[in-house]
Amino acid sequence: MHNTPERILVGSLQKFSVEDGPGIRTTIFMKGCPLNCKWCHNPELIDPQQQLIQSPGNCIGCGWCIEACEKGALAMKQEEGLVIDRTKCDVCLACAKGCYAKALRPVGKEMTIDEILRIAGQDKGFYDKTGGGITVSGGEILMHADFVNQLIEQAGRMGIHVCLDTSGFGDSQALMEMALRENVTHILYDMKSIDDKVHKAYTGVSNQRILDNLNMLAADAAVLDKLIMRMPLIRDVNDSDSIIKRTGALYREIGIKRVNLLPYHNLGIGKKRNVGGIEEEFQPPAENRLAEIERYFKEELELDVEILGNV
Amino acid sequence: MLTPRVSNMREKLFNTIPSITAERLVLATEAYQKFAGDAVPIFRARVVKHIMENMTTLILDDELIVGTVTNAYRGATLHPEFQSSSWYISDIDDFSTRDKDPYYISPEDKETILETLKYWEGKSMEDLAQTALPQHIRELEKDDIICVGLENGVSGETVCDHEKILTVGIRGYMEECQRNIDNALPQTMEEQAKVDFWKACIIQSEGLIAYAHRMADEAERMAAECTDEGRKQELLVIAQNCRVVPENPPQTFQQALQMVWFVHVSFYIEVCTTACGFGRFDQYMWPFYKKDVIDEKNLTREEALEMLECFYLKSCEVYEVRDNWYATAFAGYPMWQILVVGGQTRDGKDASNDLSLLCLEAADDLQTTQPVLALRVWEETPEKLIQFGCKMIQEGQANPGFFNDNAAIPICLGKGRGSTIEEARDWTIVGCIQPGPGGGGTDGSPDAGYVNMGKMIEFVLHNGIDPATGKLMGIETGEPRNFKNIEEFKDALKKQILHHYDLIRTGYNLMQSIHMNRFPVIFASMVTRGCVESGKSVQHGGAKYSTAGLYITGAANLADTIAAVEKCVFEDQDLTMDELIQACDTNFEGQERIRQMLLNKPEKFGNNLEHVDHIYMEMMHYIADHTQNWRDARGGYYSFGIDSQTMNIPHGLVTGALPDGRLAGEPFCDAASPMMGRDLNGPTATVKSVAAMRQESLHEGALFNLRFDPQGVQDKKGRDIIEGVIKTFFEDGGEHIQINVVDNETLKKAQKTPENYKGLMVRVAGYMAYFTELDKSAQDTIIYRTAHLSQG
Repeated sequence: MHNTPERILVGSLQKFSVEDGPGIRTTIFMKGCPLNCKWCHNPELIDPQQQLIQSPGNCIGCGWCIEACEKGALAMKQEEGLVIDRTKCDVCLACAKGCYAKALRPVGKEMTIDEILRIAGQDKGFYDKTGGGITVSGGEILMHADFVNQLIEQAGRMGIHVCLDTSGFGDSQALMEMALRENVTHILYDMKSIDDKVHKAYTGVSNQRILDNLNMLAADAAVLDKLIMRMPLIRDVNDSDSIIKRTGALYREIGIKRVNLLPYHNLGIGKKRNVGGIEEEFQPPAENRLAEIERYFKEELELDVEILGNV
Repeated sequence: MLTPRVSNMREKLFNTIPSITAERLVLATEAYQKFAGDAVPIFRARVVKHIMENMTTLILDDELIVGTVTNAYRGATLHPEFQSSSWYISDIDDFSTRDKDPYYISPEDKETILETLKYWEGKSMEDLAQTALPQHIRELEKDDIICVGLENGVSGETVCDHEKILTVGIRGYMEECQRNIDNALPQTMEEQAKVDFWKACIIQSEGLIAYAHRMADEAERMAAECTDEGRKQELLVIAQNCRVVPENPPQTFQQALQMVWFVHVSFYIEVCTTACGFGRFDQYMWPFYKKDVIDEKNLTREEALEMLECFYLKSCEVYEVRDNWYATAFAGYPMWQILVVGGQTRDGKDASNDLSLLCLEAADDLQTTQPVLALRVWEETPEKLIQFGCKMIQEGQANPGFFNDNAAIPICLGKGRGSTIEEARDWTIVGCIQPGPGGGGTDGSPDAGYVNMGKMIEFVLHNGIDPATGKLMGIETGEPRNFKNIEEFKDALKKQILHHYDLIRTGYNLMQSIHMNRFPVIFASMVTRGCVESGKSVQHGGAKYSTAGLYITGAANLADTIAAVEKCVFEDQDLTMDELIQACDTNFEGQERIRQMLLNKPEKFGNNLEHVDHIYMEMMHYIADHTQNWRDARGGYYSFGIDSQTMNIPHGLVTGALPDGRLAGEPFCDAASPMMGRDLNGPTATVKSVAAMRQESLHEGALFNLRFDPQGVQDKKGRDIIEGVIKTFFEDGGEHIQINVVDNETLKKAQKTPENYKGLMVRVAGYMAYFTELDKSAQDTIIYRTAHLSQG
């Protein structure tokens, strides 16, 4: 057993999440991800370290933070408003502590398992009536495998069902341990691209480990039933016929039954800018292409297909 | 699918602006002069009988259920006995042009109205109230600090004992009254008053029967002239119905509907009443529906649905003309005609039937603002019925409202004092969300008054002085700068609040006493259980149960203010009481940082945060525990509930900035909901907070509006989610919940005034953000998306 950290950085506990598994759920967004997908819609959750995030719309221009910053990283500019010099900022968060307007705040909050489940447990009545529960998401949950495993176990003792949301990039044994747990009812497993070149180019890592882990999970009949493949679809990146067909072939081979299609949306762009990143915009697949993909999975492969987050 | 008939009628409804006509005013004025001198109840009854004997008999195209309040379709009446002729005259040109709830008045009617109103100068209840009420209470009212009911209207909120009237007819009531008269030999003023009341009931019943027979004559006349054979037959059936009901018990489903409508329309002809409910419609109508549709198959289900829809459309034809202030406080011509379905029977079995569902279907078809559907839910309520309600919610209809038997039954046992469990199970809505025992028989007189919580806070911060006027308006609760802890602050608030509810009690008891002597409402009393038996009108406490409702505006602002003062002044000492008062007095000018601290640092009600939720509960229970043992003028009990209607807007308008960070003039929170923009943890957290207040102790219940993003509640899954939210709320003890699926308009407003919509969450698979924090372009995308969804 590794040393489980007592606390991890949590981006937020989002109650009433209704698209991250069945029923009413609380999604626990953990901070830190080994991938760096260019289209990531939660880019503030990639870096495992604490970060300062800006919400320019909230700024009241009081200038308090500029005084509070000993590193001289903050300045008020005529046109842009408050500007952070990220090269000077050491994320001491002195500025955020006094920013009541929440224009500057830490991305994550350090939380223990007890703290997480105290809040998530408040909605147990809603979970029980709708077949919901908690969804562990990120970031990448496998970066916090021991913590997540204990969280699941403790949730189980409270009678709370868990859904995992993972890229599959992480330790196989830890993943299998989570997947086999009785109160884990659903696993949302990302399929970003079956083509490794594309995968490497857009996520920064090879998909080998992800595919190996997928094969491993699918080989266990009990786990296979829990699997729902989640496919972000980005125009001209991973929506080509060859990628889709190769993916379909794999699904057929390993017995996948359910697929969620997630056409790209641009809602993460602002957040990327607000944590000091460089924005890059993509396009969702054309409408007819999305329909084709849906049809392919539904009709040719006879899978249960759901399109989510179609903005 | 609407039938062509219903579709025509509905279109006509939407295309007709309500109007005010002179007819009732003229007839009432004639009658007042003619009958003056009789004992008050008899005099009042003769006036109404005179109106019913002479008013226009109006039967409209396509109608299957007939009877109007005035001589015009969508016509409203003036009641100068209650409402002051002075504002009728001063507002008469405004009625047709005002933004809120306009009424058209023809030039001829206007002339007649102005001429007739001369007689009424200074004679109304409203004029009288102004001289009778102590000056201090009047000033508090003028400044929107409290308001006292009954000043310019009747207690209203009648729920007829439908079961009885459908069984015995008006004739049965008349015979009962006559027997009581025959058996009486008055020896005291009280005994004579009973005889006068029974006589009045008979006179007014004669008026209603005469009206119905005149309607029958009119239907026959029209039938004779009608060239369309189908319509001719319909008119003949209408004529026949009007000869049977309301005098005699109905024989058919259509006659039963006609009976209920005649009774209902009489309430509005007699007085300027409001919030008269249809009670447990699916219960008392069931025998007629069962006979005609199920057993004898005289009607198809579709034909019954069409009749029901015709009946619903009639309920869109009644109004209470309100002055400009009330038209803002109660905007949208609301009449609170609640139609209750579902729940349990008196012996604790599931009460729902096919008619319960048909009632929802009719509302779903029509999507009109009246009647308002109330779905009673308990453990045995069929899934099909709840799911249909959830489907309506999902489509953004915000109808039905859902009510919890497991909260309403204990409320009725508590407020009824002596109510049996059978009567409590037979509860119905009296007013808008207030449960009353005995399915017709409770007189709620719900509107005793409202207290403005924002002003209570201002009084505490200024030792009783209203900063808006500089005058000592409240009581002196001590120099706030000397308060040593939050308990002293809370105690001062409790004193101010209770003092003002006590002033309402004084004012309302006075108003009730005047009503007893001058304006006993005869017909509404007769059909309320207990009145004929006791020989007393509702105004005299004749109903089996009598309560008077006390309400509140700004409940969440009160809790948020206490939490903010506790955290920022006493615990963290971020600022002194003096600095806080200064900041509020200057509307946080130049002190936005302090305001942001007050807004964002302390806990806010509605986020499932234990401490502030507990403060909320403590304050609400304090008010309930102290006021609910008070007696009103007729021996009834006061009862407290959290319900602001849209009074949170005018009350907010006169209130300065508050320690919870709310700016001067902004509306308060809506009823029992959190303050706008402060429900940051999503709907489930809000539901838990609102349910946490132990609502069964609040005898008038708590009105809870909840908002959803349509994205989160689509398809079958969405319906299940809505149902899960409702059931969890009820399991936790909530009394009422109404769900609004957020619309495009709201999102556009959120773009313009983000602070009021901070909690508006954007939910897309795995993505999290607050709407107001998104880029303009992303907001536009979502607005597009939502518009798209709500059309679908």
